[in-house]
Amino acid sequence: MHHKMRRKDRCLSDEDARAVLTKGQFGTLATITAEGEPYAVPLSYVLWNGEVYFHCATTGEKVDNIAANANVCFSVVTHQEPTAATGYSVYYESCTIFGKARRITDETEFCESLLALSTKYFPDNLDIFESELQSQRDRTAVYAISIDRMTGKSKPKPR
Amino acid sequence: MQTEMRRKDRKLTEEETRSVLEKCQYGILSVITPEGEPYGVPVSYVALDGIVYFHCGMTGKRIDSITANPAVSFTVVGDTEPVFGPGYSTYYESCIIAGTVREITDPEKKCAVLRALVERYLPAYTADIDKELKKEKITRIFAIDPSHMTGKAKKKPA
Repeated sequence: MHHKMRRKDRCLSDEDARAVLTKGQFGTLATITAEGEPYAVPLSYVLWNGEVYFHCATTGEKVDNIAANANVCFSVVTHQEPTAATGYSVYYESCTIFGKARRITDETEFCESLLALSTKYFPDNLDIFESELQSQRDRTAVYAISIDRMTGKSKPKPR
Repeated sequence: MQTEMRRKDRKLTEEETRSVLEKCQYGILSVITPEGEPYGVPVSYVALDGIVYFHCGMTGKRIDSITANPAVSFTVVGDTEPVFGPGYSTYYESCIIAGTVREITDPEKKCAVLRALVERYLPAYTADIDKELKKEKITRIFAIDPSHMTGKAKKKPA
């Protein structure tokens, strides 16, 4: 059973939620530890071919967690601004994804998603992409998060 | 069990970690839903003596989750900036807390937290604070008792 959003007046359309995901500069990946506790880390990411791709080292806590339980939640915030306009509140814009993380082993998908990631953050420095890829590939893992459910939420600042 | 930080060169001291926590404007509260899935939600918060406090409505997904499982992860991120040269990297600073939530039910303590939240986020508008404190009865407030706190950064050279 999934909760309906309590504040429906703040729910974003699918298209607007996806725009938040495209615009975001980092996201927070929540995983489940072996002990059944949440563990969340901030990450760089790219929305590519309808999924969220991120990279990391080949070992570490999130790698272990995902191997044991692929269920993840990914949260992105693109605006946050406290306001006292009508009582105390916050203007904000965010998007939350629920899905499964899978390790990318396909060579083409591995390279192309890293190129998409590099293009998002370093559009003017892609000349070194090939050499970076070659020097880092053996210690890099790439994951894709399927977007099984997505909710965008916003309290927009009046124009 | 808490995994050791892989990149020890990026580990912050306890004091630096607290300053990241005090500076950041929102955090992601991650919980486990009754269905056993992770769920992360952005929240406003205030840190008082190293304890993170947040408030929310009377009902909702995060309340159902922490009622069933009080273990949470709380993540804040300060300044981030992609940095090029020699390779691709990012300047960032972040703090991650593993802990357990505890509800604050004492009305006086609840008001103290609400006051601290207003003073942190809207310091120029504290005149209306008494009106806000009337909402104490329809607001739930939780504290995160930390079992583990880590700060990590790749600092931009000064």
